[in-house]
Amino acid sequence: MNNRFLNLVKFFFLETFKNKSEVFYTMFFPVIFLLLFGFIFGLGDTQHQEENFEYGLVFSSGYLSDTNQSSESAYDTVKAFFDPNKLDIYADNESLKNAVLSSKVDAGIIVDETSKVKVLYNSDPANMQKITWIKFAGENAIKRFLYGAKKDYLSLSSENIGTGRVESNQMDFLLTGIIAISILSGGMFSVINTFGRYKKLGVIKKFMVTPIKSNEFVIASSFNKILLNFFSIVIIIILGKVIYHMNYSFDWPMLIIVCLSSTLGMMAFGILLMVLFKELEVAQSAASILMTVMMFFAGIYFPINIIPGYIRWVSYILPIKYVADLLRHVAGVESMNITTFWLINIIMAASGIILLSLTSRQLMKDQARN
Amino acid sequence: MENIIEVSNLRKYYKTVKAVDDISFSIAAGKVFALLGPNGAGKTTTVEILEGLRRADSGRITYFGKEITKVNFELKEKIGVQLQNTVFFESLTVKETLKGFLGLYEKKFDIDILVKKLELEEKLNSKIKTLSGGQKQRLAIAVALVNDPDIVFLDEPTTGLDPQARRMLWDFINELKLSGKTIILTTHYMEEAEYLSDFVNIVDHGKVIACGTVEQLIDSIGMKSIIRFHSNKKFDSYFKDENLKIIEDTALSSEKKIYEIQTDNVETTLSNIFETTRKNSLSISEIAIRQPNLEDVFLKLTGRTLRD
Amino acid sequence: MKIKSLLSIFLKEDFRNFIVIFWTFVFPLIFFLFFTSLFGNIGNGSENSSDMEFRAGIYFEKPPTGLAKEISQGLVTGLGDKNSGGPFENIYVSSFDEGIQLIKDKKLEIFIVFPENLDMLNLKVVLSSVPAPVVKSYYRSDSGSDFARKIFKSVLDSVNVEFYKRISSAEYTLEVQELNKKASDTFSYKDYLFPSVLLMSILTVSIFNTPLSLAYSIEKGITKKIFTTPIRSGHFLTVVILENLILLGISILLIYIEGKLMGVSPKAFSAKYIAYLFMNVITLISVGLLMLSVFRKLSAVNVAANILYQLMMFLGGLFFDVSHTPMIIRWFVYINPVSYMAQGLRNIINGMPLGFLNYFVPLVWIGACIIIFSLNFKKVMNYE
Repeated sequence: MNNRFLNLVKFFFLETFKNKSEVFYTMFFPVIFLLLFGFIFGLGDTQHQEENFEYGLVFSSGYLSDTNQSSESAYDTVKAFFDPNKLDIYADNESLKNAVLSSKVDAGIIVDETSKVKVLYNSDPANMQKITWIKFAGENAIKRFLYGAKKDYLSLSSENIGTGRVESNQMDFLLTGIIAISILSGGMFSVINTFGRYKKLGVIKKFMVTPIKSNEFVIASSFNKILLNFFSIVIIIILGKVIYHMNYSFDWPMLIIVCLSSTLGMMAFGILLMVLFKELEVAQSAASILMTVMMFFAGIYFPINIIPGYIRWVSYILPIKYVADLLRHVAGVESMNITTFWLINIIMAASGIILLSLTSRQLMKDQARN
Repeated sequence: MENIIEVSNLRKYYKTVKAVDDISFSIAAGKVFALLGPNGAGKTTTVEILEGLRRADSGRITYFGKEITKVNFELKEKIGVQLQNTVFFESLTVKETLKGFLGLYEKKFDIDILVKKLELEEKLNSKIKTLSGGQKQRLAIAVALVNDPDIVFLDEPTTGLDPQARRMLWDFINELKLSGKTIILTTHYMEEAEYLSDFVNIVDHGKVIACGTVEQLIDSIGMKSIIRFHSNKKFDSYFKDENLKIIEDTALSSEKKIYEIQTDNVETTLSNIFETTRKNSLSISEIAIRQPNLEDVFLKLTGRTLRD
Repeated sequence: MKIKSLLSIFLKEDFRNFIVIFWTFVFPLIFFLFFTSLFGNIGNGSENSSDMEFRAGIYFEKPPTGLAKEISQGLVTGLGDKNSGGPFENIYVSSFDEGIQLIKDKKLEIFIVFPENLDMLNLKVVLSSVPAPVVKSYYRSDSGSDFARKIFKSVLDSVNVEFYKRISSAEYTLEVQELNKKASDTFSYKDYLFPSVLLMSILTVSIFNTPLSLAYSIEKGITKKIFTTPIRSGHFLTVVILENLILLGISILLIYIEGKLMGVSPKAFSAKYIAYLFMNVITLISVGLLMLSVFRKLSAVNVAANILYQLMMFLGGLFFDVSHTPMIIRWFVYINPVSYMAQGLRNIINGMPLGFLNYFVPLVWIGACIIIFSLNFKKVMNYE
């Protein structure tokens, strides 16, 4: 790293940080997203690993008279079978139906005189991921109650084989996944957006006539974006601890290494897109699509296993899965074979460096042209 | 001669700046009227009030002998405006842009003639983003003329152009004048004002500080010829000598040893300077004699140059 | 005539802009296709899980006998039987350690260990005081493994119920009923996604394209030049709105064609649906103009558009349920017109009536936006 390069970094540093809306955008946009998705996907609820549902129940009068219990204690008994899920008692079928439709309860259960059990649930696909569990838990609870199945014949104990340094839960997985998305999009968009901006300002041509090497320009101009991105990751990590009481504990030097190698890899990816598509706007759109696809194929919001087999392979060729694994390793959420860890880092960094040095000259030429 | 526009006591104040501060002038039909002044003098604000883009705080404006309170659509039909650094939609072609603007007026001019005169024929079907600076500027002027206006506003039409492109535009503007149009030109190039205008208002800090034809303005400062030279040693003290007393005024740059002196009598002054140098074994070079110009007028009135 | 000329300038610029074409016309189509094929078979419950694939490691500490054998084998076969909808691929491991290693190496989603005392089950059916054998399951925290664990838990639960059912005198029949639509309909993800894609595309044009391109024109002096010509500000605004409507009209038409090809419910093609959609278009155009009049500067409008777009989309319930989010963000769900629009459009498809709020909230937004925008209009246009 020479003087000229440092000077260039400083120059772009001033340029970047004086542009307040840009700084705000790069730093806080991912944070806003974290909060948003955190709340939507219930990150705040880390005390209960299990998602709890609320059911509504209607007993036909005939059934109540069958049991020789006062109605009060009959309700208590049935509630115990639903624990830890909540159970509300409704007077008649109509009010229960309304409660289901208005999402007051997740599902409604009607037990009528003819020994028929009806389970009503709202088929609003907004709950589609939950519906399976709602039905399972509700059906089993009411059946257990009706058949008097207080004790198990076969009981189950589940153990989380945490491979990480800390005791992790699904929320740690989700958040580390979000951070991985943030690193990847930061790396890719830093080059694309920086170039977009500098091309508009007509700066690229001016630098082409100075004795600056193309890859120096690319790295120096994107450096500040990457720095900002790193800050925003730090904010996310701290917020995760403070607001959501996450368990993870980051190995910071290793985190920097992972950030660096994955950012380099993704920068190269961004440049590759620009060289491939020539037009900056096209590259930008391609990058956005790629990010959307990555978000959904990362196994972050839902398991890869439920993606239809014929497109599941996409997950394995996208870098996000691997970067998420690296991050979970440095967050102590999961452990990874140390050789694999370094191998992925080296592949990301090396492919980044190779692509950067091969393509940045072409890129500068393309972008300076008009 | 009929005044096509009359402006009196025009004022436009912003929070901290008096952009236009009690300006009055009148513009004769068929002439080129120039507002000359440094950047930020209030020229653009003044013309934008006349174009109907801004509202004056106070003052009277008369168009075609009728006082107006607002630049209405009838008036807009009669004026053509080229704004400072206008940008057009990048992906449209020259032809599409011209046709698009043509469609916004009732009165229409033949685009082909405009294109030919402004030498844009070759670029007719090119997208605007491929045009050079000069071509874009010419397009802006062409767009200002699509409605065959009586009055044409040109705001800094040649800023940023190379000398050749500038000369070409100057010739075109002269042609426009000959075709009977009234032209209101704002510029900070004194050569441009000198070359093109019949009448000049010099504006500074929102006020008109001088007005008249170019000749009148130059005469008003009572300057004669100006001799400029470069000396190898400091010359300042010699101006006190008896034989250099004819010099009326000196502008000095002692540091650089460059001197500008005014005189009524060029021959005598020159020979006296040479005598002084011979006597004191000085050497002078780069001697030039020129006539005063609008720059000198501005300098005399404000103590600053136009480019400050 | 003037309007036509100006409109043609604006539209030509739009149609030559790759970004506009792509995000307005192409992206919603890809999005719709992509997500319908991705999620089309989720939410049908476990009945249709043939596409899911979880790897379960199975280990018996001691080979079971008798009833215990029968039950455990039945359980395992059920899990792995694709034909009956079992979502697991069974992998028998030869030792406990091997299974643990496989789960650590992510080669299994779940590892199920049947205990040495599984045979106690044979006794327990006759003597209920005998302690129940404990089946152990091992999993990781990642979503796939967690999913597998939940499925296994439910399956084991129903096995327990089965024991009691067999000895019980009573017989209950279970009937599951979907509400919110006619019983004959099956769950249709495309009907759910169709309004989302429509609204997303409206948001793209009204919150992104229009305010940004207007802010650009204002900042670059294009609007200033237009205002030196004899065009009324009302005409200019009409042109902007027409431009919006034309872009949206094309985009919506394309989505409808795709919807038709994919077999979206015919109710989406009803006059009521289209009329309500039109009201949504007007509302969101107003919101876009309001945003422009508040932020004005191109860079500020850019940031605001990005944030508002995401918030309105994700907190509008377009892709997932937001009615149970914490109050810190739920207030936005309530003031977000998109929430009511999405609900309204879905109600129509589901054959339910539109509520008061489905009209009222968008109308309030239209009103407020028009008032604020017209008060601000001259300032916005940089035109005093």
